[in-house]
Amino acid sequence: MFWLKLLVLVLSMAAAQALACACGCGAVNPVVLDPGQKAKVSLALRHNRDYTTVTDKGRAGPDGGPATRTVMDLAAAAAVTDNLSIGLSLPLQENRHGDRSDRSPGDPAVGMRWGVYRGHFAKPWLPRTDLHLTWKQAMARSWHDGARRRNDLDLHSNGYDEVLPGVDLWWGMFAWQGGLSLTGILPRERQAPDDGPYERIRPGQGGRLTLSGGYTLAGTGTLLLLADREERGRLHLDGEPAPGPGVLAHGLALVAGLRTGTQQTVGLQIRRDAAILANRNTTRSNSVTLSFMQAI
Amino acid sequence: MAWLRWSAALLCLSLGAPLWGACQPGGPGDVPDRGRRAGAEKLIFFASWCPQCRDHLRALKPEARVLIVASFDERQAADEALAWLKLSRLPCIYDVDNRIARWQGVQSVPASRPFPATR
Repeated sequence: MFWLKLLVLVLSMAAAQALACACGCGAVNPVVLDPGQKAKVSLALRHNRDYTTVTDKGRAGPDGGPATRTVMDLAAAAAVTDNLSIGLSLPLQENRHGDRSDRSPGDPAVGMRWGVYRGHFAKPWLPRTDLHLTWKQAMARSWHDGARRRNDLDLHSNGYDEVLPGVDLWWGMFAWQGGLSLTGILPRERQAPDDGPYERIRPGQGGRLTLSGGYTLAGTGTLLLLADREERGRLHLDGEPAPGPGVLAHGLALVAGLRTGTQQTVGLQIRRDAAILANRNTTRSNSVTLSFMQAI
Repeated sequence: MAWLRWSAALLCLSLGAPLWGACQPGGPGDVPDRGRRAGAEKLIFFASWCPQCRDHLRALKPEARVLIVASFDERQAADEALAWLKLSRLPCIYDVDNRIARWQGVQSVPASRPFPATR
């Protein structure tokens, strides 16, 4: 009921104040500020279900973890200069299996984004270009700490501090728009659990490539199809590579952004992780995300 | 003095700025005077990175009685945008620090406001 109440609250905020993208395009990423915007806040509610484990051979099987996960993500960004902004993301998660549940803050993240090039309608083939750098701090309980509850209900993190540098390109000068995003995933080595045979765990480095394309109805909203590929290298235990391959996952999402006011956007995303092509050492799930963004 | 004019023209070209009709920097205090001189009936706010602004400006007739305000933008980019739209002859103010936009309560572009300003 807590999530239902929160959803009603989000929707009522949207209805009352009806988004804030300076050009009415409704940026899909809540922490992207358009020129002239001083700040933006975003509240997103994501519900994951239908979890399936994908093995290192790519075979799907039952997953022993939570049956559903609901994440409320509060994100905010503030402009430091015309081209530089800083952002913060604070997730709150609830894992559920049957009638049992566990709620905990997830891993917070801070980041900065530098707008290298804003785009120009006289040069429509030159994409808007942003560089970004995010630091995710592992604070929530992870498998390194051990699960205390059945179905790993109390695990809310992968347990790694991560540095995520990236570049976003966006071709947005036509009604049909598209983007390409490359993000590195650089996790930090950490201490292994005390009762294990190893002392240090170094997760594999990786990256995520996201391609997006869709249609924007000026002043009204955007409909985008996203496809992404995430790859992570093998774990290293005390400097030795662990047996088996790393992670490979291809996700697919449909994203709609509706402009509900001059400075407000409501977003809906339907996503399937590990949806297409080859996947291994990952988890398949379906999710629905509802978000509300307000720019200032 | 011809060599001086040619040198100035070459300098402008090398900086990428149009030779005429460029947006002149200004603030709220410059709007009444420039608007009156232009015989403006409307202020049109735009930015070069905004595709809707392109469509909005394209709809303007060359004889339109407007004062164009380039806000949330860089001056050279705004000049290039107007030159590309062949609107460099329309009067334009480059909105330094977006003060005109704040004064007129403009949060997003494109936007238009009546002139003389009522705020």
